[in-house]
Amino acid sequence: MRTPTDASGSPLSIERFLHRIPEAETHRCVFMSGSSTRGWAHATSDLDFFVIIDEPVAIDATLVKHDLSVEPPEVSVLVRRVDDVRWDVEFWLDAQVRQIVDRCFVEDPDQSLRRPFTHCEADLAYRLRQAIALSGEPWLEDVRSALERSRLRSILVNRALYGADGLLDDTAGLLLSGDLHTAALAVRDAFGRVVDALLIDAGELCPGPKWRARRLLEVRPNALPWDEYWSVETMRAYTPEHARSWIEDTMDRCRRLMMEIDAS
Amino acid sequence: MTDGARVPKWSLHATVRNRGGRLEVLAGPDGWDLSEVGGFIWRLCDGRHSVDAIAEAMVREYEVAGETARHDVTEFLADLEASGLIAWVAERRLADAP
Repeated sequence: MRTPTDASGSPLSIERFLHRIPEAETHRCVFMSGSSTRGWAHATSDLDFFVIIDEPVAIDATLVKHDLSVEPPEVSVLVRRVDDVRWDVEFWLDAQVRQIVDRCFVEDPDQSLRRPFTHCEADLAYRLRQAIALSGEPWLEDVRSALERSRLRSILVNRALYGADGLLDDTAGLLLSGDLHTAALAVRDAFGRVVDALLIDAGELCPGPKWRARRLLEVRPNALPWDEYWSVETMRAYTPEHARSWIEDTMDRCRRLMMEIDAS
Repeated sequence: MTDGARVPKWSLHATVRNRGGRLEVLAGPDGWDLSEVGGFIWRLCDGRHSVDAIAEAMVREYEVAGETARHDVTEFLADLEASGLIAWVAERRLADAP
């Protein structure tokens, strides 16, 4: 079991956490997850905490997330500065987490298209994989082990590929209309989604572009050498004179990668 | 240009999935689950291999007679073209010009 630490590397106990966040007193589990637990924290990184509760609590939330398809469709978030470090504390109901986990067991490869995870829910699934418990380790282990047995990988792979499909279709339309600038940006975004799917397929579940380069360096997939990735991501070889061929080459690169990603 | 010198390429609207090693290709409502050989040919429709080159690759990979390979590749590509899944390189360039 890993020990949670604060931004300075000092051990962070549940007592110290509750001293700063008394709203979390009644909880089933409290865990940290994010760049700090991954060892990727930078000079101004915040700390991300998740409090799992059985019943809604009345808190003076800094913000409320509505990007949810589970019931109830909202999560309260407290943002506090503690010793000059920003703490983001999300309050999730156990029932909300269980709904996300249950959905990962539906044996239907197209479920991610009909009822996709929202970004917020996909992010929570990733966070659970990286989590370090301050309290309630058995709850965390139970959920984590369920996710390991589930179809989460397949769902997130298909979610990323579905996003890429839409952007590739846009790119094709933009090419046909002669809007090459917009097509170039669309295909670069499509490429990013395909890279995300490749990384998820390799076990790196982090959704979104923020840590894409770093994850690729860790996974180093045979299907995509670093130089090739970085060249497309930074559009290094793009020139207005050869825009069409760069766009079409990038579309083909996306398709070649898609053939290597197991979407079953 | 002879038929064998023509170069097939995935159509702009084609999308693809790998389902446990088998390829599934789609362009609009038309989707195909490709056999292993179909997947082999599809992978080579990258705008760099002519029909003849694909048939030669098939002879090497599956040890079939040249004429058989050429016939099968030609027929399969015609089906893919009819479903909008591939286009021919020169034709696509002309069709796509704004």
